[in-house]
Formats: sequence, C-alpha cells, structure tokens
Amino acid sequence: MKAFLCTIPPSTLLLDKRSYYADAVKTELELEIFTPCDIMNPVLKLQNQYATGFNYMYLPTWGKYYFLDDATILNGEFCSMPARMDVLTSNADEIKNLHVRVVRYETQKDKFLYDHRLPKSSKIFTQNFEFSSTPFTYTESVLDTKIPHYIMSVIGGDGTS
Amino acid sequence: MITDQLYTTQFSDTNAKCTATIPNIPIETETFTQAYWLGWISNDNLPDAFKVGTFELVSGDEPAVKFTDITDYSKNRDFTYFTTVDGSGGYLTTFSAAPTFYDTVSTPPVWVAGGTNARLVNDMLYQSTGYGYISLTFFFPAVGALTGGTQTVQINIKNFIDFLQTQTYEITLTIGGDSFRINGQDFDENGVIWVEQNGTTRPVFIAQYEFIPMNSVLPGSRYIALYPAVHTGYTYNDSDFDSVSCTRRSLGYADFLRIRGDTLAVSYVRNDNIYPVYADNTPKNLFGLNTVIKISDLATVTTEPYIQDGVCVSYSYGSGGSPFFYNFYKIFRPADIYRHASLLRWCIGTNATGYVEYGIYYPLVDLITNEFKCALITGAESHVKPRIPAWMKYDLSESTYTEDDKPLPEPPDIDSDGDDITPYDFVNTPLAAANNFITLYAMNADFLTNFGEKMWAALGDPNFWAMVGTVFLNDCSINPADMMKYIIFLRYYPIDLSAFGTLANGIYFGRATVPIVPDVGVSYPYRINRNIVQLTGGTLTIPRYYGDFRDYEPCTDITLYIPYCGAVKLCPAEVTGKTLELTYYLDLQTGALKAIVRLYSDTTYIVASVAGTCGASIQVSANNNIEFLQRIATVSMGAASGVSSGLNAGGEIGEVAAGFGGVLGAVGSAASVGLGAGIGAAIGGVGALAGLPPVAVHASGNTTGFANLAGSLKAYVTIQYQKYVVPKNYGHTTGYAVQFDDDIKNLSGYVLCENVDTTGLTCSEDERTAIKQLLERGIYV
Repeated sequence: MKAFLCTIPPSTLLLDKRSYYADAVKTELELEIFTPCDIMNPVLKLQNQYATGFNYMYLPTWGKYYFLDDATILNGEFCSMPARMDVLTSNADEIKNLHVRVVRYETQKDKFLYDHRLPKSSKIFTQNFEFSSTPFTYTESVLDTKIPHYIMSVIGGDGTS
Repeated sequence: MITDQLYTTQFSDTNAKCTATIPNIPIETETFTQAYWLGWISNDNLPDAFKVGTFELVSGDEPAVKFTDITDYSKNRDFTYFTTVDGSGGYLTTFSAAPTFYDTVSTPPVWVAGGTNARLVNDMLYQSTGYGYISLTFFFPAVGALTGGTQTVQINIKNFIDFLQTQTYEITLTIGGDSFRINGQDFDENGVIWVEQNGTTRPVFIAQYEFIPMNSVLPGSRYIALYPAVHTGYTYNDSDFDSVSCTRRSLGYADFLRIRGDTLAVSYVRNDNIYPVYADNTPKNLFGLNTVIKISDLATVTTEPYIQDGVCVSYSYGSGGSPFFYNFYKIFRPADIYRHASLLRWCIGTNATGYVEYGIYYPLVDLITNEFKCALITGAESHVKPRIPAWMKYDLSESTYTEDDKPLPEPPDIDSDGDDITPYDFVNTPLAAANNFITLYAMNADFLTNFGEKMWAALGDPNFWAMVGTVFLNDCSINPADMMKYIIFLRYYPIDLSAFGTLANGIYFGRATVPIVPDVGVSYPYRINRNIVQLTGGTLTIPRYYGDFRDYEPCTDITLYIPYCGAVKLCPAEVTGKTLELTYYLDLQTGALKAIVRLYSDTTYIVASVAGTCGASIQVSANNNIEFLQRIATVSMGAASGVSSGLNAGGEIGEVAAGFGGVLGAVGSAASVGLGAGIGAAIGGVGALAGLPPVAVHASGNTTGFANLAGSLKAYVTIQYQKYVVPKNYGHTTGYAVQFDDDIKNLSGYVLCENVDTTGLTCSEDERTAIKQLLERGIYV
C-alpha cells in the first residue's frame, strides 16, 4: 500500500494539519500492513531504515491521515510501527462545518462569565472603603461638652404639638 | 445597534440606545520615574491600526467637511495649554494643574524657558494625570497672502509619533497661515489625521503642546481618554521647575470607560440644574454680593453614576451679555456639587470679573454616553460628526460587555403609579399624639452637670429648689417630691442633636414648666420636636477590582459594616460599580436605629436594611430634697427654740427653708407643719444627721453600656477578594469560559465544546466517537 511518511510539528490536537503536511518533506513508500487490520489503528511493516524520523503519514488508499508511534524492530530487516488515525485532519472539512456549543475558547467573550477552572489561590486580600461621611461624632465630642448629645424624656407638655 | 450606526454614518440619534460600550483601553501601569515623550503611547500598546502604513502626503480629494469638523470645533475650544518656542524663541511654557477625579496635583504654575522639546517631554508626562490625551497644536507662521487651493495632509499616527519622538520640530505640511489643534480623536478609522488648509507649502512647527485632562473635556465631544496613564507617583526635579508630586489611585477605581450608555437616563443638553437665581436671567456679577449660582436638588440627577459619579461643569461667561468663553472644568464627586458657587468660582478663578450666563453640569456618565453617541452639542447647538478610530471600532466589535452588568431591573410597578415604594415619611412626623404626654429635650453635658449640681450639690441650689417648689405647688399643685418621677429616661447619643429641636427655656415636669436657668456659660436645652431623626451616612461607590467575573460571587464577598448596626453581607452583583447611599433613622426615645442602604441612582432600590441600637441610657436620680429636709426637721423638731434659732442663724439657707416651709405648708402634710422654721435649725445642725433614717432617692431610666458606642463611626465596606493565579497563555492552554455556539470553521485557537452532535460526519462510528471526545476535551482550530 502506498504511503507518504513525514514529520510535522503541530499539536496532535490541531484540527487541520494538512497545510503542515503539504509543506513537509514526504517519503513515499510501498508498505505492508499487518492483518487483520484496524483502520483506526493499523500496524505498518516497514524496513528498519524507516523505523525513525517520521511522526505522520497519509494513506491515499483510504484517504486518511495517521500519527506514527514508536517502531518495534522485528528482525534484521523489518520493524512494526503502530499508527493511529488522525480523525481530526482526516475529517477536517466536515468537522469545520459542525455547529457546536463552545464552552471554553481561546479568547474571552464574556468577562463576567464565571470560570471555575481559573486557578484560585488559597489567599485572599481585602480592601476597605469608607462612606463619605457619618453623623456620629462620639469620638470628637466626648471632650466637647457644648454639643447636645443627651436626650431627656419627661412626662408632660405644654399643650402644643 | 448604535455601534453599527456609528460605523456607517458616524452619527447617531440623540437618544438611541447603546447596546455596547467602550471596553478597556490598554494602559501602562508602571510608575514613571523618568519620563519620556509619549512614553505611555508607545507602539507596544498601540492598536495595530496605528502601527501600519507610512507617512504620506495626499493632496486633494478629501471632502472639506473633515476639515470643518475638526477645526471648527477645535478653534472654539479654550483649553488651558502651554506653549513653547518654535525654535526661534519668543514663547514660554506654562503649566496648569490637571486634577483627576480623586487627586489634586499640587503644581504651581511653572514657567520654563522654551526651546527644547526634550524638556517638554517630561513636562508632558507630568501633565498626564491619567485621564485625557495629548493634543498638539501646529503653529503655522503666516507669511504673506495665502494662495492656492485646498490641500489635504494625511499623517499616519505611527509616523506622527515617531516624528514626535525624534523631537524634530520641522514637518513640512501643505498648510499655512493658521494654528490648528488636533488630538488623538482626530485620527480616523485608518489612523489618519485630516488637515487641510488653503495656503502654500511652508515649514510648520509643532509649537504648542497641550494636554487636555479629562476634566476639561467637553461632554459629547470627540475627546475621550485615548490612553489613560496610571501613575502611582511621579516626581521631577530640575533647575527649572519645582518638585511636582502627585498621588493617584489606580485606574481600576475610575474605569469610566466601562460605562454603559443604555442604562442611563441621560440628561443630555444644557439642563437647568445650574441656573442663575434671577428669573430674568440678567447677567450678574459672579463674585459680588449678588453671586448666587445654584445647582438644584441633587435628586434631579437621573443618571446612573455607574462607576464614577461626578459632574463636569460648563459655563459661559463674559460681559455685556455676550458670552465669549466656554469652558468645561473639573469633574466633581457628588458631594462637591453642593459647593454651588464656589465650584464655579474654582472654575473661573477668584479674579474673574465676568459673570456666569449659564451653567451646565453633566453627570460624568454623560461624558461617556455623549461621547459614545458622538454628538457634540456646543453652546451654539451645533453638531459635529466625529470619526470612530479604528481601534475603538475594533474594540467595540470585540466588546464582551453584556447585559449581565446592567443594574438589576426595577421591580414591577404593580399599581402603575410610577413608584411602588412609597416610603412613609415618619421622619418628619412630630411626636403627634404623644406630644403632650411626653417631651424630649436635648442637652449637652454642661447643662446636665449644671442641672445635677442644682439638685445634688450639698443641699442643692436653694434658688432652684425654691423655684421648683413654687412652680410645682403654686402653679400645678404637684408635689415637688415627685419631680424626678417625671423624668422617663436620659440617653446619650453620639450625634449632635441641636438640629432637631428649638431652644427651650424650661422643662416640663408634668403640668409644671420649670424655668431652668443655666448658669452663665451653660446653654439651654433644645426641645426636640420629633420622635425619629434622619441622619445622612454618606455615599460610597463600590469599585471593581478585577473588572470581570471575579468581582462577583463566589469570588468576592462584600460586607458592609454599619455603626451600631453591625455587619451585613451585600450581593456584589447588586452593588458592584454602583454608588450606595446610607441613611440612618434614629428613634430618639428608644435608641432604635435603622440603617437603610439604597442605590444612589435609584433611592427606591434598597440594598440593605439593618437595625441596631444607638446611644446609651443613663440612670438619673435625685434625692428628694424636700423629703430630705423634712426628715431633718423631724429629727430637730424637739425644740421649738431650736427651730427659731436655726431660722435666725440659717442665713441664706433659712430663707430657703422658709420658702420650703411655705411649700410644705401648702401641701398640708402633718409632718411638714411648722417645718419652715425647723429646717433652718436642722441645717444649722447638719453635723448631727448621722442618725437620720435613709433618705428616699428617686431614680428614672436605666443604664446601658457605653461600650456599645465603641467601634467605627463611619460605615465602611470590606471587600474580600479571592486571589487568582492567571497562567500565561491561559486562553490558549485552558481556554476562557464562554457560552456560545457557532460553526467550527468560524472559530480559531483553542476550542472546547460541550455535547457535540456529530450528525453529518460521514466517517465511521469509531471516528465519530473519537472526534466527539476530542472536541469535548479541546482542540485547536
């Protein structure tokens, strides 16, 4: 089966790696796949000279992209190399058309949306803010015997309101 | 949306509803110790729109209206500014203080011999008080007659700034003959300044630098803070001007750019809140005897002091009825509004000889709202169509300001009377039915001491007791022995009670009015005419710290401490960013205190209502001198001669005793018969009283602890913020919390989805499952 092996830099979580693949130096091989074969996780039979130096592969037969894992040397000539389908890139065009509900995103959309994942320190800090004035004058007036602070209530009145 | 309208027409309806706001603008927060020109408008914090492009001169094709917009407006402005030489000498530089919301920059006017823009670099920064922008004035020497057609100059802001940083004066513009001012808001959406002028090409100097503090900004103008700088302090010393220091709070306390327009009932144009008191509007001398400029009741301010509350006062003044001067001055906090004429005096200066024709005050929010509306209303009611800088447009489109931050909706108006909360005006309710059953008197410590002395000292003040006896018995047939029984309580309150009553020259004891005559230097008591008094506890604006969800629960706790009432938790969502108004209601009879915290913008919105107790009860007591003397007489009654001699020897006291004798005789008590003479003898022999039976003491009221009066006298709010550690690249690695839906093709960067529906994928089920898992764990688009 024809395969194009290469090395690409982006994260495995990048949705569409095809541009990186396109820019990469690719090695075209006719390789054998061990059977029975799981399309999602095929195991390649490669000559030992290809055991290292690749992390990505495109199989035109299936039209799928694969991540390549570490190879296992089988004998003096061949090695086996497990591959995992890159389901994102392999289906990138369709995925891009998915309408999704996003709950975490690269850029902040609403600063007032509570974010439970923001790392919280065990520390707190406080700030005090005083009101602009107060009617209470106890401290200042203790020594001021001229300010009427006392209320005396007595029985009686003069008949007026 | 108004933003769309602004983008397309650059002009909005006056009362259009804003549905977005101006988000934060990048700011420098470092403390400058060595300043440099435009240090806080660097390329680093410039939006991209300002970084691209090259300097170019374009002749011609711009419509003249752009010129009109800028210069017609600018030339009518009268900002304080300073001027420096254009390289050939002749100008001096002066500075004026640029106060901010909170701070007063103590700066004497300084004159610096001009000639070096390097000096101005520092000066400018010194002037940058955190709010405002830098404006430049081009000085164009007029040489000969101007000829030629209209020409237009584009200046890319990057090059413009670069130009400034080179401190090179000369710039060749196809302008001539006049002086023009530009500022950051004159840059259009492409970062271009449009200036055009009839004239020939000639060298032009940047001759005038102008820092326009925010408090000089005309509401509704295009002038808004371009890049607010935050300084924690700045001091500059050299041989040319004195030390300058300023201390200011961080921008977080005055982040007025967050103000929403659509929450505001904007008092937009020339309202009547400042007016001459003269109905004929005849100009009056401002600072003469007739100077009365009033700002009407603060309650007429209907706008929401959302983050910061303040006003900007504008006015015109002049002489001969032709105002020639508009100005817009200091932003005041609400309390300052009451400063009335002094406020305008501050604006104009104490040496002003003109008069204020009219004044306008704008709540600060108007500044922003009007700014956002981008409609300028000047004294001539002319409108100016401003341009929206590209960076603002960008920010608006990215605005994350949501409905969440609006004030809570008002409660439904159930009976459609416009106000479902009709507070009972109990404050001004007089003692009413109880008025003639009890009477409250407010008195100071001197009076109480004096009063007590009259009753207690030795045998008391004989004149006082004689008077008591006379009044009680003669006027009212009340046994003076019961005098103290008429006192219900005596309480101390930590407030000045004089404002709640009128001076009284007597105290009612039952039907008797005892004309208390305090000793010299002791004031009379006040008769209190109400049960409940209303006390103002001031206002407080609850600031944001983070400016995001962390300012709210569960990340932030806000506790309000109210003197004598204790602490109460406030809901951050209710109060953050709002101004609170605290009012106390004190029941003078019981000491019951109710503290009510309302939104300043809507006094029917009660945020908290807390009850407490204020004051301390003091037990009052007095021995019944009548009874006291009566007992003495009883002991001494054995010898009539003693009575007689006592009377003779008693002197002054004997006279008093005679008075009591009359009193007691009138009472008709058997024990008091003939007492008048006996008292004198008794007093004469007072040393023999040890064997007397105990004298009854009448007491009133009770005692509560004064310790309850301890604590802060001012209400305050303690805001407890949770600390967070925001990792670098948080958005890229973890992602910000969001809630929206979209096609993945419209997204970029880190994306984490929820409950992904893979319908439509034509791949195998295993692949669909894997894709769903990946999307729900997070991928990069």
